[in-house]
Amino acid sequence: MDVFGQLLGGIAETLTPANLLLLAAGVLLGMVVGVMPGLGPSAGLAILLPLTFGLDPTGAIVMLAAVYYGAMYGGTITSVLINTPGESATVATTFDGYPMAKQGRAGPALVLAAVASFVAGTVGAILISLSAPAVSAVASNFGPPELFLVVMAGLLTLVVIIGQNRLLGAVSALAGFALATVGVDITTGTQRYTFGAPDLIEGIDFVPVAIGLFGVGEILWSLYNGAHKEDLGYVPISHRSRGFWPTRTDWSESRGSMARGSVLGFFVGAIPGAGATVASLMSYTVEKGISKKPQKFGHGAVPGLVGPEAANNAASAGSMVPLLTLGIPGSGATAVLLGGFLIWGLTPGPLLMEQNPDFAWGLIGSMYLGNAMLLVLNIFCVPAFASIARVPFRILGPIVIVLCVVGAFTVNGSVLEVGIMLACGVLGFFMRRFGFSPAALVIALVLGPLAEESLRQTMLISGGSFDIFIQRGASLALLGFVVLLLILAFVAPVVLRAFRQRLQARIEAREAEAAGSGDAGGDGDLQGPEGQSKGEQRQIDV
Amino acid sequence: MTTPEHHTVQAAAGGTPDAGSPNTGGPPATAGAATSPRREGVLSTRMAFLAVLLLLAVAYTVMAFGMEWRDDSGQIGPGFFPRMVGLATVAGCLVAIARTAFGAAPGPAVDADGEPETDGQAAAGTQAWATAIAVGLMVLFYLTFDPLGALLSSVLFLALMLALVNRGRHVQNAIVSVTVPVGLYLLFEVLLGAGLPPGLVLPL
Repeated sequence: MDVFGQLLGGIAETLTPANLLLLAAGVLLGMVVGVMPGLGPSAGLAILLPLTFGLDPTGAIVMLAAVYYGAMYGGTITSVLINTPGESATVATTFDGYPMAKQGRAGPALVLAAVASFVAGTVGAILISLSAPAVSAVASNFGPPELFLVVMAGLLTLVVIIGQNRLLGAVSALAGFALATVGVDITTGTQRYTFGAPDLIEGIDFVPVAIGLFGVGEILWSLYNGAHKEDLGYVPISHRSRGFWPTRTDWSESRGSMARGSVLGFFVGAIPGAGATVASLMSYTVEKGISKKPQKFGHGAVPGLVGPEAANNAASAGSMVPLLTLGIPGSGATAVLLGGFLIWGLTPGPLLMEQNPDFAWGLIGSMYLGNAMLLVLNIFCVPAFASIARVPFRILGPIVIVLCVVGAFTVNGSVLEVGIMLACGVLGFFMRRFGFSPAALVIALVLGPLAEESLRQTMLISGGSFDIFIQRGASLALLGFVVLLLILAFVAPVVLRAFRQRLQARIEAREAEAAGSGDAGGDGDLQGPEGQSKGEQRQIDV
Repeated sequence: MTTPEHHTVQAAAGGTPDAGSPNTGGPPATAGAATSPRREGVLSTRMAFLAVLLLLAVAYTVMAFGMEWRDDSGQIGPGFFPRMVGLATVAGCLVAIARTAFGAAPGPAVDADGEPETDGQAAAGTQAWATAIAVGLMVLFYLTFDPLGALLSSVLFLALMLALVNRGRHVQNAIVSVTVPVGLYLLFEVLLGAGLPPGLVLPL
């Protein structure tokens, strides 16, 4: 098949010493960032993006993609060892990962999580290889009306899935569009919202905004919640510990969960806005729902760890599909990746696979190699990374702020952009405080110029009439999808509530059956593991 | 065994969350929370934030109406997109203010990806002063970044921030305040040639 020929070519493209080194560096740096509580792939990518400016485009993107995967796994380490998720996608990992660690099985937990991540990432890369060319083929016929609707649909999907913050998510996206209008209007040469500042003539660069919102904003939010006052209980781990490796029973219990989590995670991740968090929580609920021993969940059940871990990594791969084929980022992290592509003159979208096949397949090929590298590094370097998790926030937080300031300056050598970055940090804090969406703002900031330009071109083609959106078949279909999304915004909560009730009833029925048959076990509901740090109850919404 | 309809993250023991549950339905009611002083505080600061956002949106929209939305040949002008965005933002802010004023529960905090915070931290809110001081130190950092240079301003910022959040550990703070900026300087300036501001003090 031509697809596999191109894939092999992409892998060969990545198999150069320089790219392998960048892959390793990206994975390591990503894990370092991911291990810091609160800083996930979004913050890691935003903060580390300036480090790649001296590289060639392929090397830079390979490294950034590796940072993405590495940061996802870094969050797993803190979830298992200190019951503190590195970011929201690894919350589900705490349910059974931390109880395993408390039972003296931190080693098996982390090894299983690493293998699950590898399997899921590989499955995800295979699915991308199969789906990306197909989606690209459809999307290559898109014109300006379709591109405009795709941007709107992508943002709407993100906002709808945010849930009860839909209004605030929409306002966040509009704020991003507003920021995107700052600068010189390319078509007419008119300055908009520059207030005479030369630094604003080229517009507001998304990198300082992303660093501020995701990096500094997160640090301020953690500070506000007293992270600097916490002394986290730490479960030690070493290769020399007895029982570091999983048992045969562990492997047999995890096979099905890995497979299910991988496929579920990929397709959920491909939906803009759904993301790794939704994928991992859905996987946990599914695994518990189909388990013959649901009462073990929350007390160190291997499927409860492996399923969500596979799902969140497969979701990372899935989110690359709309990014590469449509140019639509579905999360903050992929928005930063998109920004990186644009910086190096690459335009993700329907024509990427036609016009830059070497780059596209090289990136997909690097995902395979990155997964393999992640597995090796995860298993053999986990104790080293775990030691980073012991560095308290009160030391790491200020260091991250300094790193953000220096990183923001290096983008364009502009002190004004450092100010914009810090202002966005404060904005990011308030956005978190009041339920707005930093991701929607960044995505809209990155897509704003494309949205305006495609709307302009559409109006040019149609002579100023909006009828063009219903005259073209593809745009009519996309318009229908947008309308469906708007309807879904009101219907989805009802449907989801009914789904949750039905699933919960099924879980209870199984638990009652298991209790009636005399299986040992305690409270097996979805309240999560016992012994939460500081008496917290963890109940997660699905 | 409890059977929650949905699963909400709750704060550390002793606190009811001041944020609603991160579900996709309507905001759940937390018994008694609507009248608690902390909830009222959250609502008032939320209103203030929304009011500032509304003012900015109005200013943005007024400026948008000052630009041409259509040029002489009938094509979309520079003011078209900003007008649409501005009007929609003003409308969104007004609705959010109305919802807040008439008692809708504030949404949960969200993380960087716009996904609900699920680590139980949303309700603490007791470190407002530390956060405000940290913001002040960041402003100082920004103002001294060019005149003092990247290295010195970083040392100063770290020393003050660590004195704020890592109290009592003077030796540790001193070591970190010096080694980290030097390390970052070597990485960005020497290795990557980033061109960091040298400042007027050190002979860099």
